[in-house]
Amino acid sequence: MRTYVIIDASEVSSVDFDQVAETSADTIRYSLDGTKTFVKYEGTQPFFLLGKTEYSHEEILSILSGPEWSSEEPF
Amino acid sequence: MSTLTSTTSTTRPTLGAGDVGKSYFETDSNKVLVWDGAGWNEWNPDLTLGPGFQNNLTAALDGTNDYLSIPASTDFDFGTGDFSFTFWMRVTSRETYGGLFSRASSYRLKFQAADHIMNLAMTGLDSAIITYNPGGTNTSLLNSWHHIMIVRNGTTLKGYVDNVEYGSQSLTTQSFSASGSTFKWGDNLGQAIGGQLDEIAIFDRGLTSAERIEIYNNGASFDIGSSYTGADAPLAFYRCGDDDDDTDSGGGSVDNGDTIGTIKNVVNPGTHDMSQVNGATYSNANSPV
Repeated sequence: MRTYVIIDASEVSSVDFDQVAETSADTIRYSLDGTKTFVKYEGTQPFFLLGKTEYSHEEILSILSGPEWSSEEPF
Repeated sequence: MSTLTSTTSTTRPTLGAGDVGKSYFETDSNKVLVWDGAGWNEWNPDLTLGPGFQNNLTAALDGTNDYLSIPASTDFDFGTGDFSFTFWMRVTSRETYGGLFSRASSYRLKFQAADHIMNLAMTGLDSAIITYNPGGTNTSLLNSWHHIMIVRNGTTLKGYVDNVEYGSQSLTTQSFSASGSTFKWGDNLGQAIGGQLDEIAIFDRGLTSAERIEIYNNGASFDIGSSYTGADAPLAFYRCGDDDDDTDSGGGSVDNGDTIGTIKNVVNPGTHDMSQVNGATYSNANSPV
């Protein structure tokens, strides 16, 4: 089961992409204001994410549907 | 006399290697299913045998940021020419404008702020092409398997759900080109869908009515890759885990739950092969056909 963690955009440089499902810094998704992103992983929380709040799949879907992450129709 | 346990196409049990021989009667498709330890063997009501062309795996998206990706190619720039897209989908979550496929902003099939409307946008037009309206009641496209076909023949663009026409649009100069853009499945400029995609085919010609019937095949598996060859062949056909050459992220053979490595283009392996971005996986849950 996957777990999701929201991090600050400034922390992307510390992400080990071998330990998360995201492909690279170029493919991760940011909040609309560009200050936050998230990563997901299976099993134990990677060391570089220790202490971060973990979200379930259902919880992160709810968060991403909010105004901080979802815009009007993209063009 | 014994009685097979009943199941449905959306509630098939998830079985493993230790469940060889377990058999079910699927009440909505009238198929008989037998688990062989790795996949379902299916007998259709007309006694044709599903295997030989089994469909056990699908591509699964978590609805947050993962998608399938085909490298940019001008082969998918149809301009004002004919084309067809066919695929199965089981969407379980969508963002407001979550995308089924997109090539940058140039052409996109996406949900349109409702569970029953999908909109095909193109250069020169942004028009709702599918409003799923069976029996006159706008019905959600979510949470069930549906077969989608988008077909351009000349100046007519039509959208079909389960081979029933639910949208039609006259076209003139509107075009489908996106030179240099990656072809993404499960994304619309960052707006995601969650769920499963399967049996994706892309043609550079308009399908005929007879071909649509053949491909939909009353909801049963249909081998597009072998059935249409030469000038009739699709540009690409993706089995999403069921082709022997599909791989997981480690380059090995495919199992349920594996992160996707390469989904081969069955009709021309090595050209237009598909990969995943941000963790899309293979899933044998609720395989469509």
